[in-house]
Amino acid sequence: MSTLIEAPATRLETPTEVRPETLLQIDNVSIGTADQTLVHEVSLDVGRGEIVGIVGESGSGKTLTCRAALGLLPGATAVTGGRITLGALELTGLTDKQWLDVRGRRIGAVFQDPASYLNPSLTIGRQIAEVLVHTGNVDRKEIKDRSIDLLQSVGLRDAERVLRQHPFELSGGMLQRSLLAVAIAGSPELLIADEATTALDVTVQAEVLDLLERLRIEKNMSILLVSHDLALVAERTDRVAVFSDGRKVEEGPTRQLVADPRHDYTRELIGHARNVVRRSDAVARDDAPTVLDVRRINVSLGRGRKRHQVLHEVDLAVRTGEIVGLIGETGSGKTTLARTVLGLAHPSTGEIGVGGMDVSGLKGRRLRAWRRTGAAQYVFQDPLRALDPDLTAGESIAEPLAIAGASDIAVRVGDVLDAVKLDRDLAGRTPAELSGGQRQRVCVARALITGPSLLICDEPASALDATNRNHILALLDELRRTREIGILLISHDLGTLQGLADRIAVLYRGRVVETGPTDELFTTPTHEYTRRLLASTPDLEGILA
Amino acid sequence: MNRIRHIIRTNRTARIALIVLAVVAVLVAFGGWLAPYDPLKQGDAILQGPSGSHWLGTDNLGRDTLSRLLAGSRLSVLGAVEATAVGVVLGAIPGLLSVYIGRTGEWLLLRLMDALLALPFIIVAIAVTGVTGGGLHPAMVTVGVLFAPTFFRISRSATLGLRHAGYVEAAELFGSSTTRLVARHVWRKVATPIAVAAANTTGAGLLIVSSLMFLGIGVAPPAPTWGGMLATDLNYLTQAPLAPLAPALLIMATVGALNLLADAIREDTPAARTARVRTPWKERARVNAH
Repeated sequence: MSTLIEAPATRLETPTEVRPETLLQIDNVSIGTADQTLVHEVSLDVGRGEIVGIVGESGSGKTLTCRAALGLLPGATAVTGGRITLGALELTGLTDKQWLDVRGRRIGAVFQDPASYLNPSLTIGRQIAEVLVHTGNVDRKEIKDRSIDLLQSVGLRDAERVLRQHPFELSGGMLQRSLLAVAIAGSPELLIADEATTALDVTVQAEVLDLLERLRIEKNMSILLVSHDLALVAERTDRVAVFSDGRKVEEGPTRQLVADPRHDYTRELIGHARNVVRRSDAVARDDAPTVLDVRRINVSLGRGRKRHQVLHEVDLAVRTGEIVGLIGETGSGKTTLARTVLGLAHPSTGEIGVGGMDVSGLKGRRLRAWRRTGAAQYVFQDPLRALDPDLTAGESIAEPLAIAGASDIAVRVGDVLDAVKLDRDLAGRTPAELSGGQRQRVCVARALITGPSLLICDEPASALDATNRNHILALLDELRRTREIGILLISHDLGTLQGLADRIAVLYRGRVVETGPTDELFTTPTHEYTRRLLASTPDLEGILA
Repeated sequence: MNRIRHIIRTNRTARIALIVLAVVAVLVAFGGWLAPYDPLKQGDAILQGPSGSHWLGTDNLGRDTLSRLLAGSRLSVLGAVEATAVGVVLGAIPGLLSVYIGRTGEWLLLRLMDALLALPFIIVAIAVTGVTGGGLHPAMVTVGVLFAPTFFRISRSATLGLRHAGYVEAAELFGSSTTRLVARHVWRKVATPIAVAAANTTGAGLLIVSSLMFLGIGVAPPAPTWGGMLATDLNYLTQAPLAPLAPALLIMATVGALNLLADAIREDTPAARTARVRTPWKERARVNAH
């Protein structure tokens, strides 16, 4: 892919004094339902060939604003005030038929989950052809050649094969590229990318964003880049608008806005993005006992012909009082490693020591008996799915003890609620009545109640917004200081681990390719993948430097 | 129980459905006792229209229609309930077990249910009644057995969906036994779709009971049933054109109420509630897709 999507060597600087001709103009737009205004008087201009970013947390109105510009507002919502124009054309109030000439031809869009925007029963080729035919001016005979050109231009090497493939045969990155090819097939003047890279691995994300920048330069396309990730938007845009609670709170040239934010909310966002969570200095002593000792395990999953090896000769150790980060891309085997330690998958060879006991061979009754001791506990990625919707928080937290048949349940539930800083009154609520951050605290409390020596957290903060993410991570840091516990923190986000982990292990295609103290890994990465990972991670400090 | 109370409070359609079903339940319990005449007593005034002494008129043998309807409720409705109960027991429980029983047992259960699916309800029920020498119970138990695959599929797919739910896996990681896991986390979630299906199936069962009685199977002639009355009345359509209306309306109201109740339970699941509040257009799209 190197030749096609090489990162532009120099960022194309848009001179701040000479603003390009305005293409999309959102002028004082309000969006709402009959009885509720969701977006309040938002104004935003996107110039020709400009990349403009919108940053905000979920519910801030950024997606509604984008959808208004596409005429795709959901259900009962509608533009209730202001106007949106594209060049000389007023978009507000277009009929469905008139929109057909705008969407695809003049405005293209890419959204977060590419799989749900591609028809699963049509080949990628058919879906690109559909746009080419719709937008006209392509001879039927040329469609195939044009489609191949498009797919190649979005960095898909084997374009001819992709053309014949269905969405389910492609990886997430390939799907997002295919959707991008569909979006730009009509050569739109404006491309709206709404969380377009959120679901992708960091390295793939960087490639797709490079691709957007290249499209902007080569085709003078305007791009509206929408994301909750300030560092990402800041790294890629000329201008940024910050949305909060249905209002635009601040807008300005990116560098200026990041260096000198005017609004409190922007400052808060920048604070979160700069990783306020820093590990405490109390790094584990060298003689601290090892709570997790994984030795040369090989794990294969699947049956029969589908059986494939997921983990190869993996070594990993966690000591008491230590947070060890495990990073890797989707499919690298991070979760399989966690599941193997907990006995949900079984290694074909190798040993897994938890608190000095080999648990790799445990099955059936002996496995259940070991689990009831609660020596190793697991915190799931998505707390909403990890909690039974019918049980109250208190009942969920008590569950490990109830299963193990402990007696002093009520007292211990109260204690762990204090430990995770949850109000004791919340114990009577069901998950639906708790906020995302509170739910994850309930999950952590449930994991702590057995007094485990090893806590495995699988992306514990990735389903949470920035504020709650930092609170949960700070909680983990506190736990490792105040309790006799070692934590294995699994994440795809290097930023999270940089702040928190004492050591980091890099998992790449089922192998630990690099492991070492966090600072060392960041300053002198030895493996090629680690270097790529470091280069791809959006970094706010880099913009300020 | 909370679920039912919540449905009654919030859903007007469900309230109406429950009122209709309550009336039907009263008919089932006290129908014979409420009847103004002996439902089997024949008279000279045949095929009469509604009048002061016979509110719904009389049939071809001069028997009081209202009395026959009231007295016939029990056989008609209990037959349908019996079939559904047999179906739930023989379908839902094996469906749940099939997920945890191991591969061989799972395979056998699946093939057995597939085989049952291939049999047509009414014809098999007729055959069984023929072999066992008549009677409603053998017929309804047979229909129940044939209902089982529906409940099996529903409870199996609900259980499969829950098998890898985070909280089920969490309980497994705490060392929970499979029995406790099913009782605590799985059963309650599976019960909702089963309740929906049961309400729907009871409606279908009532139609099947009525069809069987219409065909003269299961119940010996003088005993009144809704389906049987419908069949008799149809023979005298030219003399008493309105006569089939009463039994037909009762069957329709009962089946309709059961279906409305099923819809209400389905719509009241927490997931559907949040989906409806947050994304009304998605919910609509899903309904249309059915």
